[in-house]
Amino acid sequence: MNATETLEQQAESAHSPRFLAQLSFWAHVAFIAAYLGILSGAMFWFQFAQAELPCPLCITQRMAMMLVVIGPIYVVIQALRGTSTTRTLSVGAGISILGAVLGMAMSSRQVLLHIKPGDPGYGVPVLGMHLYTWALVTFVVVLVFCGVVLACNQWLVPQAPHSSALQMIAKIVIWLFIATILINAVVVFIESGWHWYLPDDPTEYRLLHGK
Amino acid sequence: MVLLTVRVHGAQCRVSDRQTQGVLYVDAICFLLIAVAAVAAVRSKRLQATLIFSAIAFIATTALFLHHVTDPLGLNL
Repeated sequence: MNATETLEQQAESAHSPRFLAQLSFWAHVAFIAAYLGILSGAMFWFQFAQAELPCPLCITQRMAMMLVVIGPIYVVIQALRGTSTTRTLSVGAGISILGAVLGMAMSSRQVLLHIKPGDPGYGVPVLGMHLYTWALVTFVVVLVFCGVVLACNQWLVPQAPHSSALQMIAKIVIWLFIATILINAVVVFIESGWHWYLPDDPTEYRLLHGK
Repeated sequence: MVLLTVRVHGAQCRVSDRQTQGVLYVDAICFLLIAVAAVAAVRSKRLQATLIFSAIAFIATTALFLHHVTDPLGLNL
């Protein structure tokens, strides 16, 4: 890091009120935690407890959610290192926007597959909407979040709390999220067995059934 | 890997009907690429590393999705 960058960071942090800087930090941590909850809920509750196996498009939407979260992970880590700037904030928002656009394409595709009147849709609806419709809603929320962050990035450069306990909470959320990605990789492999792709309507863990 | 399979078995082969022993599953690979990108965002101090690994994960996931939608190789999976 050179002197110019340090001065730039000092100038930017001077423009970010402490309250907004901390709010921005925790908003990004909440962003990661929210998707951690969504992905864990989908996997542990719907997939394991309800035995509702995800279809190929559901899996790709999970991937898009994970790609979206790489943005806030980057932003939070930079804040924890004390190297947060408007540039790192913009990079994180950019990654999230790209992931959200990809996820919107995927979830829209699945919504359109079941849009015909009388179609029961895939899986069990939650609060009146199917999971892929909820996924579309979350991607729209991400775009709104990133729009606000980019429009107000001058005041929203995140600042990590000084307390090491609070910093640890953010780190735990991040590492839990990465663990969730790896668990998904293992689970989807068990679901597919030694096949290239999942069937359109998976009904069993093919690896466990010797397929 | 898909292209290699096409070359070996012909464009009309139905890979999903076969016991493709020793071949890792495509979606699992995508998840692993995303995990690598996330770890790069956490561990690397260089922005380029985060962007490069993220780009690889994005491209792999997009290709998988487009394959599900369009089946450009005619594998009829």
